[in-house]
This record gives sequence, C-alpha cells and structure tokens, in this order.
Amino acid sequence: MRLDRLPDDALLAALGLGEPDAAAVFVRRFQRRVFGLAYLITREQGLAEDAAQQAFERAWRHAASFDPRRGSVLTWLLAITRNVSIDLTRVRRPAAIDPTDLHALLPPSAAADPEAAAVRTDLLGQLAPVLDSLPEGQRRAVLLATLAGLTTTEIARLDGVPVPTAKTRLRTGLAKLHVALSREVAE
Amino acid sequence: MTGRGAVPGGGRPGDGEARRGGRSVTCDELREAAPELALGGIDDPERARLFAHAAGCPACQARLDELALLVDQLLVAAPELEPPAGFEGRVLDHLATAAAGGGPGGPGATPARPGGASTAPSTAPSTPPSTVAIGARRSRRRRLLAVAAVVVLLALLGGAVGLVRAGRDEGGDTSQAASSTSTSGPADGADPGGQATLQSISSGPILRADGSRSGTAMLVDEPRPLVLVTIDSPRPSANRVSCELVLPDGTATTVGTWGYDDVAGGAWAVGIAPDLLGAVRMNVRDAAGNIVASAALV
Repeated sequence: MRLDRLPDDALLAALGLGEPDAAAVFVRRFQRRVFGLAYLITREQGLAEDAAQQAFERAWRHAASFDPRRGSVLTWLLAITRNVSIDLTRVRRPAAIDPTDLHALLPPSAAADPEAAAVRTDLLGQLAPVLDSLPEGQRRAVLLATLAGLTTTEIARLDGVPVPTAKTRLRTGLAKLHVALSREVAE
Repeated sequence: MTGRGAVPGGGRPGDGEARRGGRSVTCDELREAAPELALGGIDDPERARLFAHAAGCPACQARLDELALLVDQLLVAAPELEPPAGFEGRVLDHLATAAAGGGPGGPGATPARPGGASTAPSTAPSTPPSTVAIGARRSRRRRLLAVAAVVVLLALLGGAVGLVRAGRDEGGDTSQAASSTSTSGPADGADPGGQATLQSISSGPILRADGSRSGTAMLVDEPRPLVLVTIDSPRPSANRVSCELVLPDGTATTVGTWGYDDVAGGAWAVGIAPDLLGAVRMNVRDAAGNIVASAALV
C-alpha cells in the first residue's frame, strides 16, 4: 500500500520504524496543522518553524509511545507542538502580543464564518457547538489559553480585565466543554 | 497527569517534590486550579504540589486527565497555515541530522531521507537534486579536474545518483569512478583530462566565522544547475553540515548535507532547481542550525 494512503496511526508507526519515505509523507500530511498551531503560539515565523521542526522530531523519536486509546495521531502531534511552542516562546519570547494578529488567527465563531465552523464541527464533534455557544469572553479565554498558549495573566492584559475574571472565564468555559465531552463519551 | 504525561515533552515533575514539606492541597483547590494546570499555566512549586495531590486522589487525577484530553481535542481548532517555502525539506534534513546524531529508541527508527526527494521549494521542477561526492587530489589543479569530472558525471548520469568516488589516479580519469547506483557507471565520455565545461553563474569564497577561508562555492548553470563546493583542507569530523542557498528575497533552501567522507576529496556538488541559480549567498549550518561558514555569491 502506498504510504500516502495509510491511515495516520499506521503512517506514524512506519515513521517510527524508519520506513523509507514515511517521514516525507508524515511531514507533508501534517505540516500545515503543526506550523499553524506553532505560529499561533509563537507569533513569529522563524520561531514557529523551529517549534514545528522540533515537534516532528519528537513525534519521530516517540512514535512508539503513541496510544490510540488516548486520542488521534493529530491531537497527539498537536499536543507535542503546543508543548514545544510554549517552551520555545518562554525561552525566546518574541515581540509583544499583537491583539490584531491573534484575532486574525483564532478560529472565528460560527456566526462569523459558518463554512469554517462546519469544518471545525467535523473535527471537534460535540465540542464545536458548545464552543460556539460560549459567551465571547469565555470563548476567547479558552481559545487564547488553549491555542495561543497564553497564561491567564496575559489573557487578562489582552482583554483588559482583572486576572480573577480571566481565570473565571477560562474555568467556566472549560467546565462547559468538559460537560459536553463527558456527554459525548457516555453516548 | 497521565494524559499529558503520555505526550513527549509534556512530562510533569514527580510527586516526591511536593512531599518535601509544604502545605498539602485540597480537592477544592485542585478543582479551582485544574484548568490552568491542564494548560501548563502553573509553575513550580505550586504545580508540583497540585500534581502530588492528584497522584494520591483518583477523582482529582481523573478530572485532570479529562481536562488534558479536552485541551488536546481543542487543538484541532487551530488554523492550518502554509509553512514557508522549503519547510518540508528542512524538516526532513533536520530529522536526518538527528538520526545521524543518534536516532530514537526502537529498532531501525531512522527517518530515511527519501531517495532523490527535492529540498527545493514546492514550485521547483520535479527533477530531484543529486548528490555526488568525489575523491580528488590535494593540489588545486587536481581538485578542479576532479570537480569537472563530477560535473560530467552529473550531466551524463542525470537524475538522482548515489555517492560516487573517483579513483585516486594520476590523470583524474573518471574511469575508476564507482557508482553506488545501478546506472551506467563511469562517465565513458569523460575527458581523461577531466576538463569539462563549467558555466559558472556566480561564486565566492567560503568564510568561517573568524574570517578564515575554508573553500569556494560556485553556482553552475551548465551542464546542469548545481552548486559546487571545494574545501581547501577537509578536516576529519563526525559532524555533518547542511548547505543552504539564500535568494535575494531572503528565502533560504537547504539543498543537501555533507560529512567528512563526502568532502574528503576536496569537493562536493549537488544538483539544484534552476530558480536557485539566483541565490546570493550560501550558508553552511551545523546540526544545531548555526551558521558555521558562509559565502557571498557574486
């Protein structure tokens, strides 16, 4: 079977085993997502590329540790990317956060972009409508913390609210999503 | 936190740290801090105390695991972005360098660089670059003869070729060359004097960080687009370096890598995409990505 037709977990296994060309297919399949998340967190192209490179390296090195019971290859790889990107950002913090940049990069609400929301629904499942139904402050707090890797202090500064308010928004937003996830698991 | 702990790089400190004194954490406190903890927004020693509590409380551990799972699932909402040109090639070179430096755990886990895969930007033609290493003499004239022979071989063999080493004979006669591919082998049409025609576009001395010269870089148009590197005094080393061409707009493309075995003969060459003939600089980078030498191409 051609490598580019392998499902993600089989491709990851091939990568870990050093199957010729598996690396190229793996990188090609996931590079847009990995780089996208890395850029959202680091907000600098060079840093994002470094983070993405390190993420692919870690995926290759730890391919054997992937457990399909805990999630998909994509979420596993993106979690690696998030960790690496946050670590790099804390060491080599780029210029101050530009709210305009973040706003442009964060996924818009369903009302703002129904087509993108439909795609997101496929990926996020039950979480998507709950995410879209969150009050804007909670939605931003969840996305800024999760996707952009911001601390609650940074979110508070960005949104012009006290830190306790940012913490509450994050906690409440995640709690609602957690309920939705629990409901999905139970079904 | 088993969920995050399963993610390489997401490891957490052992609970032993929290047990070394300090106030113990209640379930309410952990529930309060759980979102930030799952998102990695809490530092030590608080983080250690919270994880220590979770390690001893199945309900709190389960909540942390569920939140970690939730965070991971939300990551798919991140935007897809087209990486910079040449990104794929650079990542693959990075993986190959990492493998050469001591690959991952597990048998045979080496991300082999696909044979002949191009490192050029996605808009480059489909002809893959080829790498040829030759052994040549110590004298500059002999090195140039061998370099010319390399060019002839590239022109005749074309496509992707394996490492080729010319025999260390007196006349630079490439009939001694041994190819690692199944192609026709030595360049029968090679001029025994090794004087192939090179159409150079630009060239420049390769300078180390301290300003000393290590060799010469040349972009060649005919018989085919390639970059030629001559190394004045190759030094034995276990390290590999990568060769990067930089266009006037700053776009950088890694075109290949070499180790001591590749340049022991004093020269190295690789085929490149035609649009890289406009490169204004060649950088030599070590495994960590640091520029160790550079050449301005004029």
